[in-house]
Amino acid sequence: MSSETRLEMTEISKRFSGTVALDAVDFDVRQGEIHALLGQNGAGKSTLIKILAGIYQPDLGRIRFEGRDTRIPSPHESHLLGMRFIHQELNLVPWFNVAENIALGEAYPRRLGLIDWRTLHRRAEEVLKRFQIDISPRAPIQGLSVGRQWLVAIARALYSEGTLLVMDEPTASLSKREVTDLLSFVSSLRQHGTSVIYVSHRLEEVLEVAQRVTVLRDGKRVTTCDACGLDVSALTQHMTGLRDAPQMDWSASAPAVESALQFDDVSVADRVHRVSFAVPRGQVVGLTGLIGAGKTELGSAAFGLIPHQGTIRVDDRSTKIGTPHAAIRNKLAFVPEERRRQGLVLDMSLRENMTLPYIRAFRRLATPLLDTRAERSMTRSMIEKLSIRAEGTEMQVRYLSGGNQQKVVLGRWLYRKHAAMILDEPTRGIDVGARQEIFRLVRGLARDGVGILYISSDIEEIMKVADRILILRHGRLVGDLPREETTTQEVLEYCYGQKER
Amino acid sequence: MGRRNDRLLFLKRAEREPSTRSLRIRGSFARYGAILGLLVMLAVFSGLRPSVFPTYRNALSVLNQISLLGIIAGGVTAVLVMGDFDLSIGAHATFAGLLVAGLFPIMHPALAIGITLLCSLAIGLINGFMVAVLRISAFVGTLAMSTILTGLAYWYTKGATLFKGIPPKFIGLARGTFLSVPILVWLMAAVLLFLHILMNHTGVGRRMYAVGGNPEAARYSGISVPLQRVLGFVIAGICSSLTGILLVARLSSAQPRAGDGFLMDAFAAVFLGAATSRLGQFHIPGTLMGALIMGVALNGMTIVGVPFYFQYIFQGTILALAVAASGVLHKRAL
Repeated sequence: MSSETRLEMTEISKRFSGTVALDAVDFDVRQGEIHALLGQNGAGKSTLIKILAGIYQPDLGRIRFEGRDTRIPSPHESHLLGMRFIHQELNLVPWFNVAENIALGEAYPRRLGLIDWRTLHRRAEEVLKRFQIDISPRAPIQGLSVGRQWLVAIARALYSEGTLLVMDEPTASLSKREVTDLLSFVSSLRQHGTSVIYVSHRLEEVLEVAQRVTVLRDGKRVTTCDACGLDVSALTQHMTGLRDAPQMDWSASAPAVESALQFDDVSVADRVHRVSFAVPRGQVVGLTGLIGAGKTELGSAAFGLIPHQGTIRVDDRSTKIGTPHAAIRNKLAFVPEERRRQGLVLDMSLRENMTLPYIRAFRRLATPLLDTRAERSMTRSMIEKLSIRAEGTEMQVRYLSGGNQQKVVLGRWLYRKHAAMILDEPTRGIDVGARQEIFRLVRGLARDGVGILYISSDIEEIMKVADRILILRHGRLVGDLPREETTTQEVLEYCYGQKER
Repeated sequence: MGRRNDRLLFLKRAEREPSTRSLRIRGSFARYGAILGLLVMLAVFSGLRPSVFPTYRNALSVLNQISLLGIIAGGVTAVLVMGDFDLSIGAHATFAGLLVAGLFPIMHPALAIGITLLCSLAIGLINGFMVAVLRISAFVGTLAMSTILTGLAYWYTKGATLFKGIPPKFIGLARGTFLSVPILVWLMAAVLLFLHILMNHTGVGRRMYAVGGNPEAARYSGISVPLQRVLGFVIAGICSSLTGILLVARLSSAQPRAGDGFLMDAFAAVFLGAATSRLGQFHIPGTLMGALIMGVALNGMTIVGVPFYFQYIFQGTILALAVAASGVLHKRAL
């Protein structure tokens, strides 16, 4: 167990069309070290990892690997260097057995041009034995629990002499027991000199397994420190930091009377469990929680995209909403999380995207024909209202910037007044300026009496716009805090289960 | 759902989109290529047979020849717009022809045609149901339907040609003219105009294109995606049926496999049409253009005296080229 440096990244910077994803970040991993990489969503973890994987190229900065200056122009190069990545989805072939999966991607051993099964199984067995994994190489993947599949994925990663292992949220879908097993296994990797970069949102876990911790925030490195001596609240402090208080117009927040959107005992499969709350007219209710806490599922259920149990009512009407069409008719609007995939038809024009949800309203009197002129004037007024930067109404939305695309997805719902709106991560991937405009827009809508459910995993953002903050953890509602009486720190503690109501 | 953004998108989804500039260059090549091809053909055939090819009469004859192709290709356009596929159109046309010819001797012609169209409506619904609701791949589902229809056709006719009891008035449809333009050409124009207005000037059409462009976004906008897709298959079914029925008038008989050839020609026409549009999008004017190119080529080759087997080779080549040219622009894998 030497403390020699295996990977050293110096002053790595990366921008994406205007937004800074990484700003002169230093990061290093020693041999046989488990190094946790932490940060809120959008802090730059993924970008850093993708640079290592050869998917992104840094704009500035140096990478040294095993003492040599290196460039990683492609995933292939990254693999040759000995870096191995385990994706959350594992990418195992379910109907292959363990040995076949372990050898997958490498050349299968051959004899007389045919696959040499005996050697294949023997090698797999050796790898499994070396890491003391008690699984038969002939066991089919389908029959293994997710936790054991992770072990196989790790064995596969290390089968071909990987020296640096990157794991993304390895315990997200594991049971407690499996988590314990996996953590002790990861710890044992140190004996083999393998280095591990461990990305996780579960802070207790991180403190248990890692030797050092690096925290990123807003694309900058906040700190790199030894894990022992740290506790969860120290980590959350690093992750949130202190920022200037926002300037926001709160004057017109209406008193909570009528509910615009009400959830009673709502459950969604195994993702959301018996959640009840109401979004009053004229208020912005923030909904936050870690990834996988069930936020998006709750929003999607209300909009009729996925089935649910319990009752969801819009505007106190008890109509059952089973499809997005019914939801829209009941005056509920939904801005989905992934605007390019779920929000926009990229090949269509700004105008066609704007009017899509209510194309029926743009018919010429008593005919089925569309009134394009009315569509254009509606689009023009939205362009003006939201200050969308576009070359006219007929421009394809594909060529708009991320922030302007988001304004289109939002703006299409402003044509009619809705009782309630659900916004799922409405500022994801857009720059600060557009973000401010969207905050103002949301507050303005609330002033006009719309009830807004604002879903975001960015707690500081929620603190900027919401009147009330709800926290989901593992699909359960664990906190309901008025904005004035809470802090980012406290909300984060609810997210991580330090506090519960 | 919901995690994609924060996931490490290793290896596979490195965010690469082809640069818009190279797309545009290749796009304009494909776009003008088809039109240029048409002009070149017109020039060559006119040069070779100046007294026969470039005449008003021959132009009408080309239009007459492509009239049935235009109708069935219009139907296919509706399916392709939504990113679906219908391989049953040829067999469907055959089936409709045999059915209507079999019904003519035993009932009023209008009733026979009505029943045939109703059957085709059902076939279209079944196709749509298989693909949009049961989620069978369009390729497999409609290939199965095509095979079943061929089987039914042979069962019904025992392989024989049906020519008894076809009303002369009905046959006259294929021979007659209105304002000195063949009736079949008028019919094609009517069908294509109807489809064009439906697809480009109504909410139904806007929803169809939205489903084709991004079914997920369409769903999030309150559009019932399965319903739209079923509608596409119904339109294709009805158009195939019309083509099959009119083919009976043209041939004064119905034969097993008579309509099968339309499958290839229709797809070639539609893809040629997509290649002429700016975005590689399927659209009715393009389809008409594609059908025209096919018609001019075949008519010209016949007049010039190119052997018939070469015409097959030409058709196959055109189909592959047209799909390639439009596929350059179309991000959908077909």
